[in-house]
Amino acid sequence: MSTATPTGLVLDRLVSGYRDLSVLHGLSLTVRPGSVHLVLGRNGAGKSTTVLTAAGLIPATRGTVHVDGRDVTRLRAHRRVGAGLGLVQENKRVLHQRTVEENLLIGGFTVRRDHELRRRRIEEQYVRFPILGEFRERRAGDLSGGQQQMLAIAQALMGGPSQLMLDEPSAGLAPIVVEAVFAEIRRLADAGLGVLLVEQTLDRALAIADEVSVVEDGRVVRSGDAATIDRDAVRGVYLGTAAPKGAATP
Amino acid sequence: MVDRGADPKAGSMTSLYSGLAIGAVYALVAMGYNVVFLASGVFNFAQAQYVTLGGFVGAVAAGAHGAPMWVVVPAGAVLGGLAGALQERLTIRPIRGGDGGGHNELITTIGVAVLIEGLVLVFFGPDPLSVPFPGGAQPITLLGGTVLPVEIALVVVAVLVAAALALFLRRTSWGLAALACAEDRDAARLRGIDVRTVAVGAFALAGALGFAVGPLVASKTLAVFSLGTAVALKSFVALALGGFGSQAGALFGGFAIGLVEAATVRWLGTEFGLLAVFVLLLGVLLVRPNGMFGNAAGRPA
Amino acid sequence: MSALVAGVTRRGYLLAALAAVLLLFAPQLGAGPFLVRQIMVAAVFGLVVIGLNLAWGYAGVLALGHVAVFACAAYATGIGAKAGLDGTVTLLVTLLAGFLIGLATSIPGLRLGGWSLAMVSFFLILLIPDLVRILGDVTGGTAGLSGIPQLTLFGTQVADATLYVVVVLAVVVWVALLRNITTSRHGAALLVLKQSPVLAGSLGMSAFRLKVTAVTVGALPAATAGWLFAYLDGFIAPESFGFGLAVTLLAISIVGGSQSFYGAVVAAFLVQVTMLRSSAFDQFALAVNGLVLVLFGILFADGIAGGVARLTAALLRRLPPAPHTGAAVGEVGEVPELPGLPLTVAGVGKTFGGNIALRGVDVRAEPGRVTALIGANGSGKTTLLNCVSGLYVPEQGRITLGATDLTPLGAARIARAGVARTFQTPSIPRRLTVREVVETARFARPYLPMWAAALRLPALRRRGREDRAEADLWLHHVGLSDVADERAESLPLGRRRLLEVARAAAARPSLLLLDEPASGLHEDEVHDLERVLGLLRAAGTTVVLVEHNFPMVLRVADRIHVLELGGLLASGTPHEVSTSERVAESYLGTSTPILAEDPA
Repeated sequence: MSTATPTGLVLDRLVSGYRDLSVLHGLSLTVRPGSVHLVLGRNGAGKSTTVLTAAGLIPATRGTVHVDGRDVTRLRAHRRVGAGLGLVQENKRVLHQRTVEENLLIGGFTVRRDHELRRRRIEEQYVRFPILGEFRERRAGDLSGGQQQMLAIAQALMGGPSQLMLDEPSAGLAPIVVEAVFAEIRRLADAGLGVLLVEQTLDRALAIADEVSVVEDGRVVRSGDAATIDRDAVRGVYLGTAAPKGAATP
Repeated sequence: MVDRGADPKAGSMTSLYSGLAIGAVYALVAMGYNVVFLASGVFNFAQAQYVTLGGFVGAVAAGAHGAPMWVVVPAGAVLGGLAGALQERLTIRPIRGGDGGGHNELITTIGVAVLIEGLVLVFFGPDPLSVPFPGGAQPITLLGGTVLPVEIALVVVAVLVAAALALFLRRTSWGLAALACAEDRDAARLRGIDVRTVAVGAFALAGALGFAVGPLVASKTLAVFSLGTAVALKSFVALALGGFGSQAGALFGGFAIGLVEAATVRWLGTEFGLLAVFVLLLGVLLVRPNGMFGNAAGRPA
Repeated sequence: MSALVAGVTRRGYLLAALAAVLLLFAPQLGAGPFLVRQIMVAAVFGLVVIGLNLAWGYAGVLALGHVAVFACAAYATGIGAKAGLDGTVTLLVTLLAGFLIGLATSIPGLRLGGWSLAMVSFFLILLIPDLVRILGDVTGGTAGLSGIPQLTLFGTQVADATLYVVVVLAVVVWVALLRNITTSRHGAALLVLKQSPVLAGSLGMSAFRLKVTAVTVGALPAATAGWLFAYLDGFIAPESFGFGLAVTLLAISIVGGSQSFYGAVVAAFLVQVTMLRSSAFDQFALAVNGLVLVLFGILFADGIAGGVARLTAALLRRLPPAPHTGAAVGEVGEVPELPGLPLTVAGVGKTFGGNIALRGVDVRAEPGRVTALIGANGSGKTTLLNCVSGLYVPEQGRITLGATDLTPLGAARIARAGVARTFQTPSIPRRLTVREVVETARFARPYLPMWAAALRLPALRRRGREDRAEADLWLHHVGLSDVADERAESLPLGRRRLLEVARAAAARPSLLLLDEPASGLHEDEVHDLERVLGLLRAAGTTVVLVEHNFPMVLRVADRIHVLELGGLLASGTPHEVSTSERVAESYLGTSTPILAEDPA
């Protein structure tokens, strides 16, 4: 079904997990370029495992990952960055000991030979998130939670991804910061980036999403258009008010 | 053990100079530890044995065959780079991420150290060899003591290497990549950094550094198979004193130990040198478990 | 026949006993004086290594200080024997000295941990020759201490043949004692500690105490070895105890497998008869030792013992399965009274760098009630649980349980004060059965000394029976009785969470902290969980529940606190919270209340 799309991020029947624990049981979803694909699900459903498997930090035991038509399933994590896949991990995971500027330089590792391009991208991030420009010599660990989240996104953008995955970027952020971050995500998608957004906050995330998938027990149990999907049913799955079993993927 | 500089009858300033020079040796080895530790989280016990090997390269090429130092040192560095890369590839990478929790890596690095020492013993025997220093052996009188040209060279080289490494780490892409690995390997991989290349590169760089300074060190201490063991532990102490990951700390720790050792040997006797260093180590670790330049995460500040 | 093979394979100690008897009568069985001597030296090294293995293989502390203990014991014995002391006296003195050195080096050493401790203990070994020289008047200095008289026990001189028996018996006794420790509750505790210090702390195990005990107890066989070594040749010299010996002992440990005592003894013999057979000055010895360390470090991380374990496992798979003795959960007792204590969290704040996780939270949880904490991810729920259970130290505020101020206490102390918890990502140690995992919760409540385990005192058996009954009780209630004897790591995620709940309950807590116990659970498992929560609540304990499964929270909670951005957004009954628009806005980013109508 999904292989018909040559571009974008295509996860096809992924199976993966940790050591003796399997988490994903054949998860498939497609992120189209220029769109935001929202992935919802309860904690423990496999949302983070999905992005970690796509990024190559967890090996897939079965299934494939395609980025813009290229099979990256066998590529190691750092090569997938070069193939155009970026990931902003949960918990605002920036390098706390390094300065803002050093974090961005490290983010631009794949373009290290083109100093001009790297410099241009850094300046782009300072324009995108002006507060980072003000604090460029500050240690990332001393930034506030919201600033760290912006830095994490900026760092991922330094690699020049065509597909960006974000794992709960709103967690622990004040509403006003969440709004700013989400607005930026939408702008990035409008500029052509494919965005896979893992989230918990429902309506706010739905507002910027084009498509929605609900993950339960390592599978997509419901998906559809963000504008027309039955929000109560989605909410039910997430809150546990409705049994996800038997819910079919349209 | 092999501290030629620790002559109890020498004048106090002369002892001090000699202590600083030996301290520079500890600092140089400690910086090698640092590079590998930062990039791959492994404490490479065999680093000091690379210095031994470099010393023997110097003894054979420069001492016995009269090759000029400007050939010996770069050639040694290349050999050392290969040795370091080989060590990582054969004895570290296969056991990464195993159940040993880092203990297996410790065992194989100790194993490599012992193996090198054993091989040197087999091929060169237990007797020390001398390495000529290009700057001559004429003592220079300075502030009431005498200092050898090689001693001045050691201190200068240690400071230069520390500065160069610090600059490399903060100012180059690969240096920053190593620092990223030091903090969060997964995050580094997600930024496109090949952590395996970084690890192998760090071992190669440290190996090259060890081999390259070997002839200089051996000019001071003589090339002997047990040089590594004697230096390894004190260099570790230098690192523990200064703080893991910090080049300035390695320099500070190395000089501090060299001086304490020289002073103890000068005024208390040879058999108290090691003991004094041990007491210093315990004292500092109990007061500042992360060393003088370290922070809580055991990473450079 | 196959039954016999299976029986022996399952009971390794029978083989060991047989080997010990053969060894004991080796001289009568035709071993010449050369071999007898080799056996004695190997036995001495084996003794040091089993001590090393207790500290390193089991407790994860690479403390090579045992070599120093060995040296000190040998010198103390030599000097004492020359002064005319009886062998029993020198043995007692060396054991005491070993105990004190073990204690004195492990306490500062453990502050360092990891590489640092390994290096410091290595350093200690290099110091031995210097110390011997400094104390040259009594130690004989570099020349060595010669003329040590033969061993006398209770005034009777011991002949060479008898000395051999003493050496072999010393090994048998120490291996038996240490094995008793590692197969007991202490072994399970050490396993937990090695895999997850965080989990060990939450079970009330003091990492520091366990490690110090392991290092100190491990020093005793090393001291015994030193005592024997002094009588072996009547001569000791500083060279015997240097770097070379440390490397040899390390090699023995690696070859045998650092988590095995039998392996240590076997490897000591192998190393002694192969590598060190030729003179100690053999120029190849060092290189061979190094090669052994490298090869075994890469290829056989778990040594001979690991290889044997894999072989027997393969053998057992081919043999008929063992009769199920006590595999099923027995009679299940009544749920005991669990008197809870009120938890008061007052103004607790916590930051990580520039990131504020908790900003002055006030929460109270009453005994016999389920208090739920809800909020979006990142709102500070788990941080709060971590502050209460002592994983984090709050920067502001106070946390009290009953009359106890928990704020300054560490995780293990808090656990022993009656706090049990589960983890968001279940923390299940490997290589234990489901029942054993539950039993680990009772390790520290109360603590049973390690010597009781070493000597297999009746108290140990009694505690074992109690632990088992308690474990079976809770396994029954969470619905895991059927897998009580299976390896815990084989359970799927949902059942792991239930196992964690059983483990926490088995600690008989006054305060139970549950971090998302229902996530990843199937419908019927959620019902099991709800029933267990009901039992715990009725038994009187205080339950704090962090959970996203909202209907379940509404069904089981007496009171709900809603966190947002590290602060308390709202508190109230399930009804009040579920109909609040503010809560819905924070929690879901929607303005529709979570439930439009009352929960059924």
